[in-house]
Amino acid sequence: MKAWLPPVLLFGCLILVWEVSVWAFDIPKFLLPAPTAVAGALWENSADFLVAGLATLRITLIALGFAVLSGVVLTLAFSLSRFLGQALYPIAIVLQVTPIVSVAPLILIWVGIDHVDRALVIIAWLAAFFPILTNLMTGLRQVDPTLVDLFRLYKASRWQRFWMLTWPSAIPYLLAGVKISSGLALIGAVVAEFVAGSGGSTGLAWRILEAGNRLQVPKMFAGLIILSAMGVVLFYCFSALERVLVGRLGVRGAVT
Amino acid sequence: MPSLDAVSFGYDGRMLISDLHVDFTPGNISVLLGPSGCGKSTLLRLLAGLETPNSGAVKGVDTAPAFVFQDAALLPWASVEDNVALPSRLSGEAGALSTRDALQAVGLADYAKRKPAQLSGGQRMRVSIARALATHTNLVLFDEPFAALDEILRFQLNDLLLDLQQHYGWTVVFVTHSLYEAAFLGDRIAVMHNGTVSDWTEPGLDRSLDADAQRASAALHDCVKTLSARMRGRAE
Repeated sequence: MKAWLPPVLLFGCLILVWEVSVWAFDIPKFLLPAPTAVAGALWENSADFLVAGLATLRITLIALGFAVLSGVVLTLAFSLSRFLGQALYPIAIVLQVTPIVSVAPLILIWVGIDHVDRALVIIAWLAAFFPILTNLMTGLRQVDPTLVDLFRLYKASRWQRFWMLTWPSAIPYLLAGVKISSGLALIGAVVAEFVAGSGGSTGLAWRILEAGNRLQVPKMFAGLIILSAMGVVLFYCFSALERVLVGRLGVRGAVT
Repeated sequence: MPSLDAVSFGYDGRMLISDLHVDFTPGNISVLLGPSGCGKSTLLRLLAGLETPNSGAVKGVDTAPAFVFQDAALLPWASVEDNVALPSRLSGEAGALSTRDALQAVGLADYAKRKPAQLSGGQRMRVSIARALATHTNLVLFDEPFAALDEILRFQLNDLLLDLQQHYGWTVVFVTHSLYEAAFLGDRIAVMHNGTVSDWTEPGLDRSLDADAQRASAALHDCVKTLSARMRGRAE
C-alpha cells in the first residue's frame, strides 16, 4: 500500500461524515459550514485569497531568510567568543520562551506605526530564529572526534578546522532547523497579522479575522485551509531541500 | 628510532600507563597485542602526539606520523581524492606520493571522484591507507584498523599492508586484539596488559605463503599458540 493512501482515505471519510452530519442535523452555517460550502467560499474568494496568501508568504519567507542569517551569524559569534555566547544565550532563551502574541503589540507600537511590514517581519523572525540557533549550536558540537584527532595530527589551524570540519558537520543540523523554522515563521507571520488587525495588513490572517467579524464562517474555514496548506507545502519544500543537500554532502541527516 | 622513554600518562587521578619504556625498530612492523582497555590505543596516541605524557618523553618522532584509525575517518562530504590529499592540504607540505599514485597503490585509482558513502567498508579503509601514503612520514600507526571488517577482507588488507610496508620501508606500529593478525603481520610482537608492555617476540615467519604454504601456516599456528599462552600469563 502506498504511504499516502491511509491519510487520504481517512481524510476523505472525515470530510464525508462532516458533510452528511451538517445536512442531517441541520447545523447552522455560522456554526459549522459544510465542506461544500467551504469549497464554495474558497472558489468565490480565490483571487482575494491568492493576493492575501502571497502577502503572508512573502512575510514568512523574508522572516525565515533573516532567521537563517541571524542564526548563522549569532552561532558563529557564539562559537568564536565564549564571552559573547555566555552573554547572549540567555537573551535568546528569554526571546524564545516569551509568547510571541504578547510581544507583538509592543513591536507594532515601536516599528509598526509607520512600517507595518517591518513589524510583521520582526515578529515572524522572533518566532522562527531560535530553532536555527539551537540546531546549529548542536551541530557545531557534533563533530566526529576521530576527525578532530586527524585535524590535530596534521596541525590544522583553527580556521582550517572550522571551515573544513566543524562547519560542514553542522550543515545537516542547520537544514533541519530551517525545516522546523519555516512552519514557525508562518505562525509568527499569522500572529503578527492578527495583532496588527486592520492596520494596513493585507495577509491571510487579516482575511480570516475580517470574515469572522462578519460571521462569514465558510470564508474563515477557507482561509484556514489555505494557511494549513501553505504550512504543509513549506515544510515539504524544506524537507526536500534538506534531503537533496544532505545527499549531495554525502552525510547523514541530523536527527532532531 | 621512535620510542617512549619513561612515559607515564593518565587523567582524573587514574594512571593508564606508568614509567613505560618501549622502542620501535625502524623499517619493521611492531605489533602491540592486547585486550580492550589495556592502554594500546593510548600508547599510539602518545606516539602520535595526540596526548602529552604526564612525565617522560616521546622520542624519534620528528614529523606527524600517519594514523590509520579504527574507522576510516574520512570526511563524508569530500571526494576520495580530496580525503587522500587532506594531510598535505592541512600541513602545507607535499606528501611522499601524489594523490593519484597513492590511490593507485591501494587499487582505487578509478574511485578518485567518489564520495566515501559510495564505497564499501574495505574500500574506505584502503582510502585511509592511501591517505597515509600521501603524507611524507615514514612512521605509520594503525589502531585496530581492520577490526570491523570480515575475515577475508581483513586478510586482503593485511596483505596489502605488508606489501606497502616492504615497498616503502615504513616503520609500522600496529595495534590489534587479533592473535592471527599479530602473528601474520608482526616482525616483532609484544603483549600489552594494564599499561605495561612485554618483551618483544620475533615470530620470524616466512610470509611467502605461495612458496611453502604449509610450513608458513604451521609457523603461524605455533606463533599464535605462543602468543595466546603469553596473553593468558599476563592476564592472570
